[in-house]
Amino acid sequence: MIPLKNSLIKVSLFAVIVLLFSVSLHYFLDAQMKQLRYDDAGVWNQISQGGIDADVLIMGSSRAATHIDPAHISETANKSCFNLGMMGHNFYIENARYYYYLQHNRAPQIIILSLDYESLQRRSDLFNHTQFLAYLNDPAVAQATRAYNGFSKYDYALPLLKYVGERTLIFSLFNNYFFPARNKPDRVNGFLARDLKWNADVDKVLDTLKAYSVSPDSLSLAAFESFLKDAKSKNIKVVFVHSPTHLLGQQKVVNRKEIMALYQKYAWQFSIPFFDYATDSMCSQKSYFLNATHLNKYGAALFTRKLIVDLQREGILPWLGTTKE
Amino acid sequence: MNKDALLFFMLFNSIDFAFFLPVVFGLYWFIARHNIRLQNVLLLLASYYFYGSWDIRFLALLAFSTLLDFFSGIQIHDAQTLIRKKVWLTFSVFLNVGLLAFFKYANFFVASFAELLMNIGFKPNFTLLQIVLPIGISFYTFHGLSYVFDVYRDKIKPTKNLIDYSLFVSFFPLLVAGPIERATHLLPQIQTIRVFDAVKFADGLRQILWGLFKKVIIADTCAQYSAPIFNQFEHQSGGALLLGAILFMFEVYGDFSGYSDIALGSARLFGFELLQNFSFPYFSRSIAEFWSRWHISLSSWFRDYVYIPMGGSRVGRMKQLRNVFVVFLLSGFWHGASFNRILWGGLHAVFMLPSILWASSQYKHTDIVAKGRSLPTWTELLQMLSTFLLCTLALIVFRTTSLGDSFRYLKAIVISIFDARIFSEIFVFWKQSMGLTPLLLIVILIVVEWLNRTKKYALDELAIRVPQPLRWLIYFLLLGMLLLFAQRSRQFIYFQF
Repeated sequence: MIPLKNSLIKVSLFAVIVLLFSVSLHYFLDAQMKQLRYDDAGVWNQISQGGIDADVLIMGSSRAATHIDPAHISETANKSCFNLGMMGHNFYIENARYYYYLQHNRAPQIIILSLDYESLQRRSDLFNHTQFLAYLNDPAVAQATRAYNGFSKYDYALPLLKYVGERTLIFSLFNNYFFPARNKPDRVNGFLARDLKWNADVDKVLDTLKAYSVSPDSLSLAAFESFLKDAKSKNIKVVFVHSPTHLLGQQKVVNRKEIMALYQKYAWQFSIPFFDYATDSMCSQKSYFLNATHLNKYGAALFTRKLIVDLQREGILPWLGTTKE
Repeated sequence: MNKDALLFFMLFNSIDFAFFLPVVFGLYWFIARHNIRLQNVLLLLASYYFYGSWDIRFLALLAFSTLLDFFSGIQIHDAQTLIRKKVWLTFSVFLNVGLLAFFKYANFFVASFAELLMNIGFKPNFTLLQIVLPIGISFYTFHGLSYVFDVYRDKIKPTKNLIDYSLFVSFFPLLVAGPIERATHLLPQIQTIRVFDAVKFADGLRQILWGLFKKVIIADTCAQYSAPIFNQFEHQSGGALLLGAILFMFEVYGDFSGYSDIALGSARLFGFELLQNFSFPYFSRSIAEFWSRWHISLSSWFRDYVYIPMGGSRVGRMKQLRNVFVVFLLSGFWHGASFNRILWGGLHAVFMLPSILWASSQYKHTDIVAKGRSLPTWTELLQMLSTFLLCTLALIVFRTTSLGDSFRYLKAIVISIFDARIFSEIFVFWKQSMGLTPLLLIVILIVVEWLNRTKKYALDELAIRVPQPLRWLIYFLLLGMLLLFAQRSRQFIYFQF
């Protein structure tokens, strides 16, 4: 009979091979993730490489990422600008991205904070969780992602585990490795222009979507207040912006006035200018939107121009040619 | 079942279990290997820890159920008269079934009674109870019942060792979803010191790996596609619905037989042989054969403790039919407190009718299909396909949430069949929503299981048949597939029973 010792040696040998392979693959995949140039992962990579050092930083959700074009701001106001907008997320994790940005880049002079009705209502799932994979060891990212149903405690500690089940991502990372030309950026300075039109499917979705209420959560509120205090202490000018939402979309949020009043309260408390475009004429024209909450490429270009003019009128951004730094 | 609670349960396919198992293994074989008492105490503690990781409060229920049957067993054995034996047996059965009825069926009875009153014109005002179904209660209650029945029938002498008996009821590999063990099979193993056996050890690891493949790769992948079809079946074509049902067939098989493989493999690491629970059921040529290959430990439990005591097949034809219906309806009800599950059992009883009414050899398949041949005959193939389709039909009733939904689901399929568009709808759905992955995985499962259908499980005896380098390559391939296909937070279907 084969003794226990021999069996354990065999199993250990097998386990060592598996472990070595896992660690190697883990580092390979992490390295490839850090090379990605598209999706939100691409923005994380740009941030971590440093050198952005934007004068004006745009923060917010997908509405920030697709509504405010930093290139227009740079051209018009002669200030470097970068968009940190995160698809599908709310302030709590957007804030984590901002602090991660500060670790690798100079603090901005101005932050344009795009506020949606849902900004202070943290979602429970970690939407598009793969964007965080390469940065799970970073304390700020780890702390923020732990507040969501996304990764298990083992994903942060054990090799390769965070990639389990991510076969589409793994295949695309290998694909990018062998065909680097396919790794094309989809955003410019964090801004994603979407050349899409409002179609019948959007109306169908709107018809089936029931009206709902938004409830800000305590974690988000605490993070929000802390962010505002920190910006004030660092002498960073924060500007609140509520970019256009189509009227049909606005109607779905039952307590939208309550939410806007909450933002207004913070604006007064911290002496923050608040630009609310909820009643702007754009909000009634479907041609500017791809759905009820997102402007398309043309709407975004128009809105960015409007915003720049308003910011200049309030003296937050300089008029081109009149103010130079 | 509280799904949130399950997230904290040490599932067989979780990392927690991957840590738990080697730790218990190490302690068992390094510290307790020469002392049977220590071996049993260690496994009992590990089992209670395992169960307590879900909800520590329900350990008391497990302990109560254990003590009830332990003392009932002794009292039945020591009783001087038949009446006293019967009293103790009734006491034990009453309490066991009572606990099960309360935790599993109370709300069903209350809701059904309220519905009945409403139908005859009353307006009842009942409140449903907030009852959490303790994981594994159906399984460990049946363990206990089999023990007291066997003691009552003098098939086994009751043990006076509470540790041994507790381990029989709560041994962690079988605690939450079986196999439903018999005292006559497991207790003697518990009462004998286990000696490390390298062949059993390797075999156990292999069976765990194969179980993980079936659960994590086959079942969870199929679930990805079948769940949306069932959840929104009103919006699907008949072809998509049939496909969803077939995928659910593979999901439920991969899920439960995968679980059973992990349970058997884990037990083997500690020197135990548990009852085989599955034996390639989808290669069955009749429903009777299917039930001799599917959830064998439950089928044989009902056979031994319900069917045979009622007269089994040694009574007249009509009584035999009654016995079959009773067994299948009970089995359906055991699977869940709903009319759908009862009807599912009833349908299987109906499907069994040919083998009872025309007791010809064509329905009695005790051998392995196409034994000694690589491929089945056309007749065998047709028999297997028709058995599979009958099971699929019944499983639609099992999976849908009301009898009305079952009817609408089946109606949509039937209409598509009569309109001769079923195949085109299957093809369209497959092309648009699924791709090749699930098909490939199912084909791999079928081919591997077909080639190994004479074994206990697909990788059984691999050490004899395949040289080590190739064997290791197979293991690495399976692990690689686990990396690619595993999903987060997937529970086992049978935990809800």
